[in-house]
Amino acid sequence: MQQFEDTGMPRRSIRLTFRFKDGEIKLLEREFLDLLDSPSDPPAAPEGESGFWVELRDADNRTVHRRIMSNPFDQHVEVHSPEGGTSRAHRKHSSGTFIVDLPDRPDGEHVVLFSSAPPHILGARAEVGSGSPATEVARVTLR
Amino acid sequence: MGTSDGKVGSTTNLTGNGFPAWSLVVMGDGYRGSDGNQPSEIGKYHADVDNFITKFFETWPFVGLRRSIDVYRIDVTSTDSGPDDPMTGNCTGTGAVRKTYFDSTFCSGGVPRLLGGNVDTVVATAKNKVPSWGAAIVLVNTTKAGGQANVENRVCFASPIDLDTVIHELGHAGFGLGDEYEYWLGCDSGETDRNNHPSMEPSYPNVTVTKSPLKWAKFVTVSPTPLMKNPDPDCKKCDERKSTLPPDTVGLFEGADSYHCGAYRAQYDCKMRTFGKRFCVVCQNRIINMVAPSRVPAVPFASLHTGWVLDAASAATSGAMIQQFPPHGGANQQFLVEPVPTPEGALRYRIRAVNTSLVLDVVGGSTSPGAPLQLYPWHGGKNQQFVISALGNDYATVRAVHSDFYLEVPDGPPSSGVAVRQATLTATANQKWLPFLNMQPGWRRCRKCQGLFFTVHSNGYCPAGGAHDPSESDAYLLSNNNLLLASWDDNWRWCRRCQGLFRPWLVGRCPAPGGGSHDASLSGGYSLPYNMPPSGAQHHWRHCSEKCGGLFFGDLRGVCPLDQGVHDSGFTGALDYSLARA
Repeated sequence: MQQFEDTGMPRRSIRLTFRFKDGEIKLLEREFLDLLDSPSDPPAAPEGESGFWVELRDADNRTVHRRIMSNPFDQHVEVHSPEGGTSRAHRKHSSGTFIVDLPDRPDGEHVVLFSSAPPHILGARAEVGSGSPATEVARVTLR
Repeated sequence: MGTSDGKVGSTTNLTGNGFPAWSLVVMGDGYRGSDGNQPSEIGKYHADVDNFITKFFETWPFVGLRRSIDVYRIDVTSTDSGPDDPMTGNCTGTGAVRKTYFDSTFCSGGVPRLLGGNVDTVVATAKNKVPSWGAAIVLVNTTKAGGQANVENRVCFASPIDLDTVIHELGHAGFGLGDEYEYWLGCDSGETDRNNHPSMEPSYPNVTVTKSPLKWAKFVTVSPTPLMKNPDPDCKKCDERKSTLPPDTVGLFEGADSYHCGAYRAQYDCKMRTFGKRFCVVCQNRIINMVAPSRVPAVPFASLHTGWVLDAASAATSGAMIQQFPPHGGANQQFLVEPVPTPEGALRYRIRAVNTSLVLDVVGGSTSPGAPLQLYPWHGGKNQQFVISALGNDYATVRAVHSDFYLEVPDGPPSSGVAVRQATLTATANQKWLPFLNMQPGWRRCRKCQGLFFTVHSNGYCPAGGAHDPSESDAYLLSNNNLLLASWDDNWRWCRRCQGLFRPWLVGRCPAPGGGSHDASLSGGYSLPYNMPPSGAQHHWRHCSEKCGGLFFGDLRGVCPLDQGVHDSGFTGALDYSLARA
C-alpha cells in the first residue's frame, strides 16, 4: 500500500536525461523540478532480478532510493492489432535518450543504472530482461 | 517535414488543481491549423482530447486520483491533416505523405500498424511548456487504429479511436508496469520459445516467478494463496481457459511476461493483459504510489447540513472519536481522501488524517445503524473503505463499504462532542458532504486598518497609508470556490486593487489609488463561516457593511477607506465571522 506522507521526502526531484550510443551511456542533462517523487521501490532480490532500474546511492554506496522502469534499451515494440491481440516487432534501437526521475535527497551522491541487456549488446536480437540478471551499466556522480 | 510544418499554440491546464500534481501532457499531430485555405481542425482536436480525458478519468484508479493529476493540452497544429501512411515493404497503407509537426507516421520503423513520430520533438515541446511533465500523449488525427509507446521517454503516440491501447501503453511508459499476457508473437503464432519463463525474478511489480514470498501477498485474502494453473501442464501454448475462481480473486495466475508457464500475474485479467479490462489490484497500487496522492493538500471534510467539519476529538490519535466541529484549521480537521486499490476495481477510498497512518474506521466493524466512527491504523478492512458519490463537483454521500450505511451528522442544530455515525440512507442534508473543502492560504490581517488581505501578489493598499502590514497577523485559510454549506456566507470576493476581502453590497470603497469601488473581476468565490460556537478559529471578524464593504477584525476597529474613521458593521446583531488559522 502507498506509504504515508511526512516521510521526510524532499519536495523536489531531479530529472536526469541520458543518451546511449555505441555502447556508451552518458548523462545529457540534469534538471531540478518542483515535483514530489514517489516512494522508493523495494530493494532488488538478493538473488538478482531481471529488467531495468535506477538506484540513488549515498556516499557509502548504500541504496537510498530505487525506481523500477521499463527498459530503455528494449529492442522490441508492442504492436496492437485492431482485431485484438498484441505481438512484438523488432526495432532498430542502438541509440536514443531516456529520462529518469529521482528525489532530490541531500544524501543522494550517485545514480546507478542496472539493466539486463547492457547497451554493448544492442543490435543483437536479444530480448531484454527475460532471464539475465540486471547488472550495473552506468554510474553518475551527482555531488 | 518537422517543426516547420506546424506550430505550437497555447497550453491549457484542463484540470487545474492548483498545487503540484503529476502532469499528463496531451498534444496533437496532423490536426490542421487555420491557414485561410482549409478549415481548421483545432475543434476536432479539442474534442478528441476531451474524449481521451473522459476515458482516462473513467478508468480506476485514475478516477480517484483526479486531484493528483494535472492534464495539460498543448494546441499543436500541422500544415496537413493526418499522418503519413506508407505503402512500402510490409506496410499496405494509402501512400499518404503529410506535413505534420511531429512527423507522425504509420509503419513506424517499418512495422505495419505501428504509429509513431519524432519523440525528441515531443519531449522538447512538453518540457518547454510543462517543465514538470510526467508523461506525454500525442493524439494523431487518424481514423485508423494504432499507436506506439516510447517507454524510455514516457511518450505515447496514439489514434483517438484506440484509447484503451493508450492507457495500456501509459502503464508501461508512465508507471513501469510489465505485460501480463503470456505470448510474444501471439497465441496462434506457433512460437516455440515461450514455454517456460527463465528462473530470474523480473523486476516489474506486477509479474513474478516467485510464489513465496509473494510480491503481492498483502492483497491476497484467501489462504492458501489461490493458484490457477494448467491442470495438465501444456506449456507449449497459451492457457485460454476461463478462470473458475471469482473474478476479484487475487492469487497466482500462470502466464505472464510473455511466457506460458513459470511466470505469474495477480489476477485473472488486467489492462496490462487485455486492453479493455480494468487494471488489477497490483497495477492500481503501483499507479497510486507513482502519482503520490500525498501531494494533494489535506483539507477539511464538511457537512452540508451544519457547515461543521469532521474533527478527531482530542487530536488525531488512534481511537479518537470522529465528531463534527466548527472549522478552525487545526491538524485534527485535515484529511486526505485517497483511492484504495481493489481487486474488483471498485471506486473506494480511505479518509486519512494528515501526517498519520490513521484513517476513518467504523468502530468494531459494526454493521448496526448509529455506530460511531473513530481514527484507527489502516489495515485495509472494509469498515475503513468508503464509496464517495461525488469528488468536488457536487455534494457527496459517503457510504461505508462493509455495512452499506451512510455517514451522517445528527439532524437538527449541531453540537460539539456528538459523534459522526453511520445510518440508513435518507439522502437528506445531514448525509451530504463536501469531501474537499478547498482552503486557500496567504491571508493576513493588516495591523493598521484591521482589514483582511491577500498577500500572494502584493501587500496591496491600506487606507491608513502605504501597503497593508501583516507583521502582527496570524496566517489564515479561506474557503475558496466551494459549494455552499449551512452557516457559511459565500458572498465574499477578493479585490485585485487593494488585495482586501470584501462583500459586494450597497456601499463599498477601495483604498487603492483612484478610489472608487472594489474590483472583483479576477476573484474566486470565498465563503466564511458565521455565528459558529467558540473553537480554535478566530472569531469577531465583521463586515464593514455601512461603509467600505471589507472584512475587518472587530476587536480592533481599524481604519475605513471611506472616511478614514473606524469600520462600521452596523447593527449589533451583525454576523460573527470566524477564520481558520493555518
